[in-house]
Amino acid sequence: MVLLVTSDNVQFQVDKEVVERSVLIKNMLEDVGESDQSIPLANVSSSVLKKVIEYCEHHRGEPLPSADADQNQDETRKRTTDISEWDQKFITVDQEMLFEIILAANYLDIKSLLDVGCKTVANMIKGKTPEEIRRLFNIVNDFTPEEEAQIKKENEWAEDR
Amino acid sequence: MHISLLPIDILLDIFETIYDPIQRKDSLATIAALARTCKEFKEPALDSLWKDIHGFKPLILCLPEGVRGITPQGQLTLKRPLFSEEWKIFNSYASRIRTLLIYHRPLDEIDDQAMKVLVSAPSPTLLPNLHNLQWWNECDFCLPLLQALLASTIRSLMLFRSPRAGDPSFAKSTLLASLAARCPHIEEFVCPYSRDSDEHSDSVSESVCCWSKLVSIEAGVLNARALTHLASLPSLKFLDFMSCGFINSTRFTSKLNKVSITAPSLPIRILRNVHFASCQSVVLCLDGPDLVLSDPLDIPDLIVSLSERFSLDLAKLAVEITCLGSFNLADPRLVLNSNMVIPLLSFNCLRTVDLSCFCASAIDDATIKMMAQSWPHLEQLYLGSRARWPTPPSLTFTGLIHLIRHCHHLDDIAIPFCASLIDNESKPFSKTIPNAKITHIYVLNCPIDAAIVAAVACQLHTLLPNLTSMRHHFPWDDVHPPQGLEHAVEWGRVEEFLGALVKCTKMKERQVHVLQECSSPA
Repeated sequence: MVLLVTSDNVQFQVDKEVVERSVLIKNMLEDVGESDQSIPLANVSSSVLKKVIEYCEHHRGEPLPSADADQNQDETRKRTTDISEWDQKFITVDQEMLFEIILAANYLDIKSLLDVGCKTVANMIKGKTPEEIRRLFNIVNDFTPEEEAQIKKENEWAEDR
Repeated sequence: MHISLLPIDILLDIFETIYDPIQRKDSLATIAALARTCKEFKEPALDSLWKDIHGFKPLILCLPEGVRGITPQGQLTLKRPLFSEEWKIFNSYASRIRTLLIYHRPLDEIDDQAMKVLVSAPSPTLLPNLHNLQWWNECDFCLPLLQALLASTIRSLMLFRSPRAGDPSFAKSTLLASLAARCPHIEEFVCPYSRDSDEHSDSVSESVCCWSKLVSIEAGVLNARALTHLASLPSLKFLDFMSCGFINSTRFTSKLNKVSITAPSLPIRILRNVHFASCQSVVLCLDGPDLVLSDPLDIPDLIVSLSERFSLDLAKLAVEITCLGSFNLADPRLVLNSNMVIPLLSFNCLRTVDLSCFCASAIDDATIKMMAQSWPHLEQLYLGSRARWPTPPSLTFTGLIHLIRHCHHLDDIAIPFCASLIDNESKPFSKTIPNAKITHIYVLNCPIDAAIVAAVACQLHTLLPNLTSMRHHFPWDDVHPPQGLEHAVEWGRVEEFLGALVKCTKMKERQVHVLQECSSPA
């Protein structure tokens, strides 16, 4: 078992096999060797780590993407916006938690979880106009009308459907 | 937490996920919308939008309206040379391009004036971060533009797709010879053009000799020096080249996965001198306007050479003849017989064997049994199935049973056989585990007696429970066999019977399933 300590000082005892889905933690454990020392995760809160562990538990034993994976394979994997049923259910959370999970997956280096998060956000955005995207994520338009018009003009070829 | 607090590389990941090459236009429109959403999104969205560009149109259209226009022919043009502010706009987008695809048409979209302006760009390279260039335009007139794109950042270069589309030219040869100097870090190279002339071939070979990180190369004719260089490259995984003559003795120490050799005659002389230490897949292709078969034809020699030059790990072996239709199919030199196959039996890892261009009428049940026992991992087997040979097959239904019995992974077979009936209680038939993967078989050249159609269908169904389709030609063959095929009616009836049998079996399975559900306690 591995002891993880979150940013809000909550401790989690997790199976080594589960926690090693995180490349960051796997490397840490390899560096430290057999030790009872806890691993501090200063960038992850307990509520987010709970979700991350739930994800890793579910995917326990599945093959990890290899470090030297072909770049083309990587791009193809990224571009398929299909998400499995379980992952879809798992990632149905409020926006704040969704972005926290993405951030944690990036920090902990869990590629498959990062993919699920990115695909979920990508699916939310697909087919929307700038105004709809702003409404969806509560974003303030910080462009002047001239700046926005210039970007539109210079990239009009892409909107020519 | 708010989306704008995500780091830029994650935003870039998300935006790149939106890009869909199948629904390219729609996905690009969404990414363009993201660039106008807020300042935080602008840079990653534009990076993603401009990462993969087709043609030069976007680079002209990003310029102010006053500079560009449309010619009466509908081509985009530039009305005057660009000023520094306009080059700044151009460069702000050009530097984001990682992949550029140029088909013939995209170059028709801009006129020669626009082309001249692009060639005269003040920066040393037009697209300073280009990694992947695919240039399928054959026109010499556009070569200066290609030249302006070639840069040391390029890792993947694909040039001149149709090898016979244009005449060899001095301009092209010059450019091909300078490729290594312009793009020294190439890892993937496709340029089948060099088969047109010695001049082009030497130019490409010259460049190939300077690349030390090649992973994949598909070239036309390569000279001996280039082949010797490639043979020593530890990075090389895929090699496709054409041979027009004798090759010096070369041992490939590279960990090649796949090799494809095209030659105007059976490439035995190449194989005699080249040793592929760890190659897993080999495709030998006979191609060329003046294709000749040696006399006597060297099939036995070819097979012996194959068995000596490749390691026992070989998983795929294919010999193709591109213009088989132009041969006299009665020519005994095209016949593959049992003795010829023997040297191949030691390749125990074979998964795909394609000898479909040779007449396999002499291959009998005993030979097929030997092959099946030697190649237990076989998934695809094609023997003599590419033409209507005048000699009927020696193989019978028994041979087919041996294959199904010993090769459990088979999912595609094409071998002419005589549809004969066998005793249902006979040993090979009754002991064979059915193969559920095979859904179609090829029956070109397969004689069948009208009287036994239903019985043949039943025996086939027992062996191959999901078989429903009888095919007369490969879907990838350009020339389909003529209409009015022999036994087409009989095989059509077999197909009808099989369809009914498969339906019946499925209904029975459903019935059993329902009965089981009903009888199980709630």
